[in-house]
Amino acid sequence: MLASCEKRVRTTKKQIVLPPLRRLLPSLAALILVAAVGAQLAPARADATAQVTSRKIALSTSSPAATNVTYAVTFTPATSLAHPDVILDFCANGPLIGDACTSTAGTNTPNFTGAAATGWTLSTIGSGRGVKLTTASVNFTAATPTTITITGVTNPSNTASFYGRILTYTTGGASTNTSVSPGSYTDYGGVALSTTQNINITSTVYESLVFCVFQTACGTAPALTLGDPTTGALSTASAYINANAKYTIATNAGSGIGVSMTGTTLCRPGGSCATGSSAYTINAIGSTAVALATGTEQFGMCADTTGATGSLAAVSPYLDSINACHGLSTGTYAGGSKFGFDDTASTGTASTAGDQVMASTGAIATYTGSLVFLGDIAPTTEAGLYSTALNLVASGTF
Amino acid sequence: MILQLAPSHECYNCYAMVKKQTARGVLASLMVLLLLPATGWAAQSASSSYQVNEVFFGAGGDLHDCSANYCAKTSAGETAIGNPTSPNYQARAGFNTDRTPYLQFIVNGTTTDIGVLNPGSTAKTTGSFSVKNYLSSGYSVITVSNPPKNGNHTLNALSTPTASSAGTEQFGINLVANTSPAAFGANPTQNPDSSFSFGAAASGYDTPNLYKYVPGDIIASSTKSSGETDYTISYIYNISATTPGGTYSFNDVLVATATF
Repeated sequence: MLASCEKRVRTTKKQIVLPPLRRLLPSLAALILVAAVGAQLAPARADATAQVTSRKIALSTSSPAATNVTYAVTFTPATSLAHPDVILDFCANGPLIGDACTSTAGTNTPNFTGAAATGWTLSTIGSGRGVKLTTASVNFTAATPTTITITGVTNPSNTASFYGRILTYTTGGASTNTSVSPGSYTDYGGVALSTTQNINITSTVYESLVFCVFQTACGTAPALTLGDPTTGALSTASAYINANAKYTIATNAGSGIGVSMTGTTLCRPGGSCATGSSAYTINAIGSTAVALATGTEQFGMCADTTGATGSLAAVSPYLDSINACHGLSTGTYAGGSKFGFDDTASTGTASTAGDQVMASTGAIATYTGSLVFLGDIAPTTEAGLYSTALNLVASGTF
Repeated sequence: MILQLAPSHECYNCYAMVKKQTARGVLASLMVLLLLPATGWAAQSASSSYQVNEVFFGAGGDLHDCSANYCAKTSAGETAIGNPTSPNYQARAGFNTDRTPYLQFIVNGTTTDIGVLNPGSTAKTTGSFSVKNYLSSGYSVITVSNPPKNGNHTLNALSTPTASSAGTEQFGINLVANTSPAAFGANPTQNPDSSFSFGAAASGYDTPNLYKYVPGDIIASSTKSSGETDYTISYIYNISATTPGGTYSFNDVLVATATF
């Protein structure tokens, strides 16, 4: 045994003096090893594909067959790419890269004909079921979320799930892509989407207009006495007002309402009450609002709309520019409020259409206001019982 | 690479030679292995003509056990199954796992006429939808439609959770069971149960008797893959005396988006 070893030692000693090529063999082997390892590792990096993460495709509407839909494609690339190519392919059968794609664009997958995305040039693939996107301006940065917003997409008409396949490529790398031979893509990922029916609800709101004139409660016609509270008589020494007539109005007329009044000034039997100029009447103030003039025949009215919504306001001559007809109390009156009463037959209360008292420009939430009447007489005013019946009509424009 | 040989003192050079020869053999083997095509390491079993996408070594099972009416996908001998997760990753463990992401979104499309509205009472109705998904990081359901509209007038949508008030123009929804203005609606139900399904009404739409409607809001969501969750949407309509007359139409478009 020892002899054998010695022999081998001798042999070994001979190897020490071998030609230089033999001595280089270990180094050569090491180099080959390094090269082999490198050969394995280098292609592995170049060919490595990674899944894009946090990926989703948000539709602006899930309605079947909806047009001009926006598809917001969001994902986080695994690989940085300058001016990448992107394939967005949509299939009815599955999202797996490399599987054959079942699709009829517009029926079970979207139709991208006419779609567009800012910063990208789009060309349809698969008869419009998907798009190839190229860009000269957009870059992907690894681990940084990116969103491609595609507009002008038509949803599938089916109400079902469908799938998207996202593939990224280096510039120009997507030119030969097909669903079963996607080529040398860089990153990839699949998503699932769905179209579905909508919930339709209809409801009706009736046009409404509530208007009543009353003294104590809606439905009871006001019967007013204009004069001394005890005798009921007017006087040349003082004017009287009556603020007991109320009105309530509410409407959803979006374009507003108008309230008109028909009737005559105060008159007494035996005379004609057709106009304010007829005999046996107390003169109507006319189409211009004025303040009281004690000892002068005056019959007038103002309307209080304080606090009403819808821009409800009294109309001249029933607009009291002094006090807005607000805060007036029944009895003798010596204040400065202005009253009017146009009972002409052409445009006044004696006309067919009547004289407009109030108007609004919009709908009015329920509101209650007052109509205030002024009575004043002259020394020559004929004695007797004067009365009138006034009718107010509200009309809405819906 | 570390080669450990144990030379004896009696024959050190002999062992040194053995060591060198062994090392060369190992290196040669390594080089041969390293020069093999990388595709030999692929996870799937494949040849130029065939491939098997899903294989397992277990006690038994079948991908397609069927009777006349039912089919099952079965396996036996699994030692661990489940859905382990971390903040950034998750996995599906088990023989019967599918690699296809999935989103099922069903809105029970209905057309409902809730009749004539009036300021004195609240009109209400319900709608429903269901969602389930798989291999995702969850889903969200948004409502994208504008509130009910009649011509140029749109009903006032409640921008914050608010109680119903008859006589005040309001439109709102929530996804829970209510007692006011009446008992209606329902809480989300998990199907088959809460062990598998995790969807929930979103904040702002999850408080009984409070209603809200903001187009674009998330109204329901799940933070992970979920079995089916069935949702009921409760709608309320209130009008005021000034709400313009006419027919108000509301086409509620819901969009479910899953993140994978």
